[in-house]
Amino acid sequence: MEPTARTPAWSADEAVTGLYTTQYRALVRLGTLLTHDVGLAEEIVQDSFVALHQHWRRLRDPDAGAAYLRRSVVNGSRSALRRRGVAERFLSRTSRAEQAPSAESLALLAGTYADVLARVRTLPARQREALVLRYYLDLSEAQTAEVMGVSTGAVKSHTARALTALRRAIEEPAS
Amino acid sequence: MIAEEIVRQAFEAQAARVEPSPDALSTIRQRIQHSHRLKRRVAVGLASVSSAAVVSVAAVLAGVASCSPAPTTPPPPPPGASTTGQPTQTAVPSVARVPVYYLGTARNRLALYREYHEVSFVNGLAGRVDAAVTEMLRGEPVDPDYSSAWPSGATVRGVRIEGGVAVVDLGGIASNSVGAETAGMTVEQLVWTVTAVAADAGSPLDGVRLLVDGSTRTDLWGHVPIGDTLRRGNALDTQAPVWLIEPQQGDTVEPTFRVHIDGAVFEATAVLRVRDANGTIVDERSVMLSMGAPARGDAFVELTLPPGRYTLEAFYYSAADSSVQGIDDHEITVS
Repeated sequence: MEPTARTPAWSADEAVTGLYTTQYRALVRLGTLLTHDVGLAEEIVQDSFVALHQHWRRLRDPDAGAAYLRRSVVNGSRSALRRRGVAERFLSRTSRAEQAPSAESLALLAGTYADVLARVRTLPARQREALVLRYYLDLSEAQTAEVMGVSTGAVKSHTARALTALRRAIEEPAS
Repeated sequence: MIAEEIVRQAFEAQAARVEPSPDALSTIRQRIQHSHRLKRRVAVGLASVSSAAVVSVAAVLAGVASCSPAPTTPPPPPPGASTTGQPTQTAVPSVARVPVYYLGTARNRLALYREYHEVSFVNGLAGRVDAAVTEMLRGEPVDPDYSSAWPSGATVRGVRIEGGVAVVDLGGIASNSVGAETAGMTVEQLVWTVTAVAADAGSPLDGVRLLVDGSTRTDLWGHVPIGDTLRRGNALDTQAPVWLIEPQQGDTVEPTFRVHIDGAVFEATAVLRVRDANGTIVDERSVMLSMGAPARGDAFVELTLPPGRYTLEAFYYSAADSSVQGIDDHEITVS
């Protein structure tokens, strides 16, 4: 994610506008990778901006604001999926997406990517978060740990387990 | 290492396809204002009760909660229960940019082009589909090169999602004097719009069942069988080979802006051409899409132009005779 320009003493409104410009698209993409639902991701990101506005007096700094938004989107995605009954939802979506080769977004990707992404959607939430933060946002293990609110060791083990599961998907693509 | 790299690329490829709503900032601002108003109401409520009246405080808070803005994540409707066309009580509309297909011409025949239109809706997926189909029936594409052949006065009577299929009930479409090709592509326009909206929302659908004034029909306008579930036709036969997705027709852009091209073209090579207000070509470049025909690929190109009016043309050169094919053009203003 691009570093945010340093701006002295933004008001809460200015912070929302400034961070929206630099972060909104990336956050929606992050939320979509975590929830596989663009509409849901947008709602979660918008909620995060509303919360940022409320807490801006405490954050003050654009970098702190960006980190707050990222944490908020990861947590919001996890709670949203829990509320929605993640397992059934992903399983039914995955199987249906595979039957619908013309589905707008996924099926247009190359076969291996689609297999990998389908497998990512079946991973436990924490493993998926670790993967997305490490390999989409390119965060370090320490930064990922901070966003997820867990230890670096936990990030390592979540990532390793997820990669083991995905290697199987890559080596034995779904027929 | 290989697995990590594939995961990285897969994430990037999926993320690159996510285009957030263009006007989310105003939605966020409205929601911030709304939450301020609610806070003030809580403050007034608290001031008006005595410290002993804990129950009243709870009542005020409960009252506030019941009129709070759109919930972060509305509880999911049970499968099959998503329905429109019936009165709703407390739903707060959501706003989304949805894909809507229109008819255009490419290679001397009709083909589908896609635009994104902003709609507001309630009731989850069925509502989103309802709003997108209503927008499609309104028949006002942004690009004047596109059109729609639905009869004027056509309306959505209701949409429900049943077992992975959208049941779309339309009114005012019983008769329409169109030929077989237009009729077929008009039904494709509906099917592609509905399934694209669902796929974009993360809930792919298998197809569409079309009802006319609440009833099943065997055919539409004497040309298209609609008795069974309708599924998307072959993409190569129905979709235009090249789409200029962004900027849209009539957009005003900054001097440096991004062009999004999507298409199914030979060797994944499309062409982007820029003409100034006099029609003089000021830029022409090959654009390598992410995938070649028969798959659809896309690409983003950054252009920098001095202020003025321009026409962007996206197309491909025929492998057979090098003629310009499948042109999609949008007039834009660089500010």
